[in-house]
Amino acid sequence: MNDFLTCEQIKSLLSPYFDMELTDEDNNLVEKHLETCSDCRQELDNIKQLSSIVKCSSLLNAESDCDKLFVAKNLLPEEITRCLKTKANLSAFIDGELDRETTVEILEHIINCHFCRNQYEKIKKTQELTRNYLKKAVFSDTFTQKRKIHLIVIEKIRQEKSRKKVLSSAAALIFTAVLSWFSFYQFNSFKSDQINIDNTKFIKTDKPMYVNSEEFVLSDLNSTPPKEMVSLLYGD
Amino acid sequence: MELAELIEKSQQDDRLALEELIKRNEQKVYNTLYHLDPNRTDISDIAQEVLFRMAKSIKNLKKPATFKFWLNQIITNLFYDELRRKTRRLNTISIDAPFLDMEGGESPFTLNIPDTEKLPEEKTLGSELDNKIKEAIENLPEQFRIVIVLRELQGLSYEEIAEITKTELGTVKSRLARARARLQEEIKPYLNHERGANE
Repeated sequence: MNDFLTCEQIKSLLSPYFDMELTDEDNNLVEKHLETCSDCRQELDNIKQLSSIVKCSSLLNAESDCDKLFVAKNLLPEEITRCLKTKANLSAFIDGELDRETTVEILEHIINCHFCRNQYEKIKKTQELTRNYLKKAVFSDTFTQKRKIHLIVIEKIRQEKSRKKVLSSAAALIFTAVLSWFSFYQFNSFKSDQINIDNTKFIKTDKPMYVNSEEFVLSDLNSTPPKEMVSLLYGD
Repeated sequence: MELAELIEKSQQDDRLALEELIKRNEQKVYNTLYHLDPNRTDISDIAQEVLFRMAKSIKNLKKPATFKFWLNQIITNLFYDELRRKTRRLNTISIDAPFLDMEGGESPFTLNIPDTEKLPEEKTLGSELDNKIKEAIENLPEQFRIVIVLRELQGLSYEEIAEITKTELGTVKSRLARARARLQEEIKPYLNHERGANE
């Protein structure tokens, strides 16, 4: 082959060059050209990206089948497993819910992988739109105030509090009533005993009243009973 | 007044502080319940119950800093309770019975026949894209919708969402990813259009 190749010719060789299918001679020619041609270098970058996108999308769109994934992980480059890991973690990455190590790993991959970056942008956009929609004042203050929700709740709380007060007052009243009745009952029982004592009269009898001397206790042994007592005891 | 101070005063039986706390959270509670299930007709009633429970058990909140998480627990628990009761929008509405509001008067939102026209407040959604997103969220399975609302509207972390929904962290991560993938699929034409406009 001619040493000098046009960009058109080089571009036609870039794909097999990337797949390492060229002869050594053609390989050297392409590499020599790429050293000086930025246009062809750009074309090579496009091929690399396209290749990773195709490989990623074929797996990411596939049915989740553990055996297939296992086989794929063994056959395809490490990059593909990174794509799978990124896909599984994109949502949590957006929410900042991953550990530092995984976050850095995902971020690096997104920067380098066009397809995953595209996926990230879509999910991020979806998340923003969802959040904005939910946070909009769908129901304004005037709407909720029309429904007077807070007024009803406040009234309910007041009613509950006054109900509790009434119940506790009633309980206190009943307790006081029971206590009063009990005390009154006890007091009356005591009083009727006293009446019996008060109603005791000393009556004069014809016959002398015999009182057993043992039962007759004098506070002072040396004192003599009063006259009335003597007549009462021994008669006139 | 700062939220922490408001909560502290409410816990000390300050009636005005408690009323202010209820007022401040009324709209957020209503909006969250609406987005969790837009087809319910009893969102006001559930919102009332949420705020009532919040007020009743405010003294049980040990750390005011966790108020948002605690309130969302009440919202979600009550939402699950209501789901079990399965009170749904009526498929038929009597054309004879007047639609009454809470005071017994005729409501300005009287519906005599199923009306496909949007409520005035729903018209604030405006754009076609918003309507598409609304529809897409409504079409999500319940479990996906719950995590989307708790994450995007309430801004809760994965861990908090897992605790509220009584699931694992991995489950929350998976549900969010799948919910977003579904939403992305539904609004794809609009995403492409926006990308084209930006390029």
